[in-house]
Amino acid sequence: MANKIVVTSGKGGVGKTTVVANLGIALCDLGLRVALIDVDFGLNNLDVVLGVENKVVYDILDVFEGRCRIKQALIQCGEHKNLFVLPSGSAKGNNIISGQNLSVILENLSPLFDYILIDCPAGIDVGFHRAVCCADSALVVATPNLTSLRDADKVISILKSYRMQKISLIINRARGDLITGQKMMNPLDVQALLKTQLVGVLPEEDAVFLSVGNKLPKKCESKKAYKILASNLHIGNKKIFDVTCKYNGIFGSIRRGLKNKI
Amino acid sequence: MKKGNRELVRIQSVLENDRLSAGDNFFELLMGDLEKILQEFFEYSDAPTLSIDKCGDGYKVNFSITASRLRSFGCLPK
Repeated sequence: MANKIVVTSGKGGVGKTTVVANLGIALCDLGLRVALIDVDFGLNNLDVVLGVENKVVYDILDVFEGRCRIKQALIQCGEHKNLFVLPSGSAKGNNIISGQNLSVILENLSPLFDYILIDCPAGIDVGFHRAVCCADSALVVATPNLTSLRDADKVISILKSYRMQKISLIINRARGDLITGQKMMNPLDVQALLKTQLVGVLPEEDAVFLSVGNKLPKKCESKKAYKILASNLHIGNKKIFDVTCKYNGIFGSIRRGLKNKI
Repeated sequence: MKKGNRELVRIQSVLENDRLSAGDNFFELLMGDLEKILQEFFEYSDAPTLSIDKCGDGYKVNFSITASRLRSFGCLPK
């Protein structure tokens, strides 16, 4: 049976959908079967991030209303044979699909996959609760700034009331140069502050911004960070990607100085 | 103090305040529930008092009543 993980944040724009897509690819690279479920009705972008928007024929609402079978709505993601996405459609789904309905759909998918990643909408409204009630565990994505962390803390307190197996934290858009210069909060301090286990630190990188609809370049730092995150989740490793390593030492300080000037 | 550290101190105080502030009807609901249970076990006339204070990482909750007598009742053995 699949491990159902909801990826949430509270605050919008922190990179939930990007994390779902790239984490899905990283898990798939480990040889696992992964389904990505977009439950952000009306503001759905998972298909675009994965570059499969032209392949969408049916969505989750069509599955629920019986116009197609689940397997017909699943879209295989390019060269990743074991990675599938179930897209969501119009905002109409918000009023039609309940948490129980979604649970039934996911239960049907569960025997076919090792992991089901649920892309949760921003906020803590109905859409959030619908996504969260179907999951076994949660990944809270936050960026190292005040507004995002405040929202993440509220979301974590709500998630605790769902008695999830595990609630973990991902720090996205961490800047190694700023952390080394103590201008940005250290992810380990954030972990202590939110009292939630940190499973991944993802660097802020142009490659991520430019890769929407394409895969991440093999040599970029984010690719490595997602690989570490995937093995932390699957194998239970506790390794955290070090975003500051490039900015330590003499060459690091030169690199930092140059980045600050730019 | 560097900006990163300043932000950390700031978010610490924001979260502390957020975690401390209860909902509008929190105290009313809590007192109502506690009284409902205690009335079955004690006889008391004074209004109970409740205080919640920050204590380390958590909170110290003090609830006190002055009871005039304990209600006696029989119960079935388990």
